[in-house]
Amino acid sequence: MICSTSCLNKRLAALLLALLLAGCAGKAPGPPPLGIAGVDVAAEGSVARRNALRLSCRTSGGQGPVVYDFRMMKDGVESSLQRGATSDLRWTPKEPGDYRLRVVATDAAGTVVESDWSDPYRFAPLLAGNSRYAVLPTENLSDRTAPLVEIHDRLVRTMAAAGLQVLADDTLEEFMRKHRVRHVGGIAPETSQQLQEELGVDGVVISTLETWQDAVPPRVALIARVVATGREPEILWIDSVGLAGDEAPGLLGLGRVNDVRQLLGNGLDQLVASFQRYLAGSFPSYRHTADRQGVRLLNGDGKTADAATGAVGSRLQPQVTFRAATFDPEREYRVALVPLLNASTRKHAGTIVTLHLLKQLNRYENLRVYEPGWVRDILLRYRMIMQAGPSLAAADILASEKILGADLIVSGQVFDYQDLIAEAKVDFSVQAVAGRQREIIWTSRSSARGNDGVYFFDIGRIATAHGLVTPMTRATIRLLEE
Amino acid sequence: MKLTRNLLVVWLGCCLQLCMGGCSLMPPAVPDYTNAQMDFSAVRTVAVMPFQNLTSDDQASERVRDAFMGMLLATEQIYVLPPGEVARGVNRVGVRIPQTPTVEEITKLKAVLEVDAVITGVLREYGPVRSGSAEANLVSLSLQMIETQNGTVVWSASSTKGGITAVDRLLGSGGQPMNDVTTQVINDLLDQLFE
Repeated sequence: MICSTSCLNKRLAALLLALLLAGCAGKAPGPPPLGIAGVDVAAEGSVARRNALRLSCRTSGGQGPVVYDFRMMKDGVESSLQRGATSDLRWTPKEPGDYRLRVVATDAAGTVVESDWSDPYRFAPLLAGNSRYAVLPTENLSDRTAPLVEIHDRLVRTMAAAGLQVLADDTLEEFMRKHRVRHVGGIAPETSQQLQEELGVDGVVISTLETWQDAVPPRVALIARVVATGREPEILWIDSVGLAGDEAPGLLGLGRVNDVRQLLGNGLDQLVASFQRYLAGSFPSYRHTADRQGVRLLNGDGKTADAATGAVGSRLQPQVTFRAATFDPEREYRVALVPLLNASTRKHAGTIVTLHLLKQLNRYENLRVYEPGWVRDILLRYRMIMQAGPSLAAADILASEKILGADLIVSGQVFDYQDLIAEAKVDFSVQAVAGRQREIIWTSRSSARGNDGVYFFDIGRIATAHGLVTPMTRATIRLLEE
Repeated sequence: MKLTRNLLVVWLGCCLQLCMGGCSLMPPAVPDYTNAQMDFSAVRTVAVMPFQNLTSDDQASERVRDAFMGMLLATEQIYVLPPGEVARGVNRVGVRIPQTPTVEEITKLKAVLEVDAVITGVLREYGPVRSGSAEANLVSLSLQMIETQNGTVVWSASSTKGGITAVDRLLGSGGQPMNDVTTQVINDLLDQLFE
């Protein structure tokens, strides 16, 4: 019995040895494991301009195609810049600051290798303390007669008082006369370049009067943005403010403001303070974190003039929304915002809601929104008249790399925008067409009234359309991006 | 004992009257039409034409069309062409009345827009209705889906929502907001389309 077991064990051991040897002999030598041979980073200048940073990753070994995930780290938040088979990246940091970069490479076998973080690359803001600003005359979208010259003068004075260098009015007027600049609601690339080259202007301030009511209770709403000059005008900062004299009456109505000029002064102070926070690098912005960990609010303690960085109530959320499954919100996109069609009785409502959408889109660091003056210039040049929104042919023109190169074309329709008569009411729909795919990738429809959900003593009432449209557009863009 | 029985009869009579009254308030259901031969899974892309507006509000049909297009797209079953592209197709084909295109125009639209079907609609009611002191919003919409190969109607349905209910009469409430009623009508029509 013992002898038989021992013989069996010997045979089994011999069989195992033979199998092992056969396995070793049959196995061809595999490819070397995936490794990162090097990451080359080249920075062009120290200012965050287009394609300011070039990265190139060299890998060795690995099985099958390699996926490169370029990542950056700023203020302790890691984000993905580009993910795909391309081993090169041309990137433009939207915000100034210190950036560290690295590459995560993955091969077909699932082997993941990471490079070390690079040294920090510092990008200075396009505007600094000694920058020169041209303040364009205020555009009136209020559908009322308003003292535009006075509003413009007060804006210039408030900026000067804050220590900003503003171009003299007569010099700007002379320039506008010479170049026949009539549209003050945006800036075309040609004008932007001429302003930089001829007058040494670094930033253009574009202000828009959204609401003006001087009768009691007074109401004022303003939207302002600063655009960096040059061949490609770039929106750096945009904010808005909406004030009503009766929005916080307080005890015995002591908090009521009856003077529209007092409201205007408060509004301009808030806007200039918001721009100064941008210059100081403490303006709030949203950034996607790597590995789909959600969106982070950076500089959350810094306030915007519209105070719209917090949560939005359910009554102001869009009622209908759709986002295509193929849309990746983390990617970087260049966005062309086509003015929304106005189907409401309020004049300029389409332009007003467009500016609010622009403001919300611009707060996401992965979105670069083209200056509306640039988009308008292209629409005029190509004679694009859109009676029912952009067609796919129009989207092709805006998406063409030779013309604008937009990844997303956002448009929509405004059905209601009411604030001066009766209760505030806003109703609009937005849709985005992906330029290359020629498909709607996102649509949203929002409608709300100032008195929705208000039952006792006007608690929770929103007095102005500006107060409604700001959180509504915030909630709309949030559903696109988050 | 007899008194109790009489009371019971009165009680039952009241209940029956209330039930009958309740039934009379419900609008009669309008049957929808679905072409049994049609393979609806082949309909991938549609163009929603401007709706015919039979109401006094000029923008009402455009509001309802916009809401319908968004909700149809949100079902993720059918792709809806952007309204600008539909307008371009209508101009290129030269559709005389976009709300009621002819068979020839629909087949031409197929070539230009590359759509499997077009949807036309008629907005019959949109706004508040009054009865005595009570007032409430009402929306009534009918839709047709026409396939672009032959220009035949493959689906047709209508829906009416809102209006004055017994609660509105008793309590004097103003009914539901117009947006909610519009959403209900469209949801009802989409249910009929996908059932």
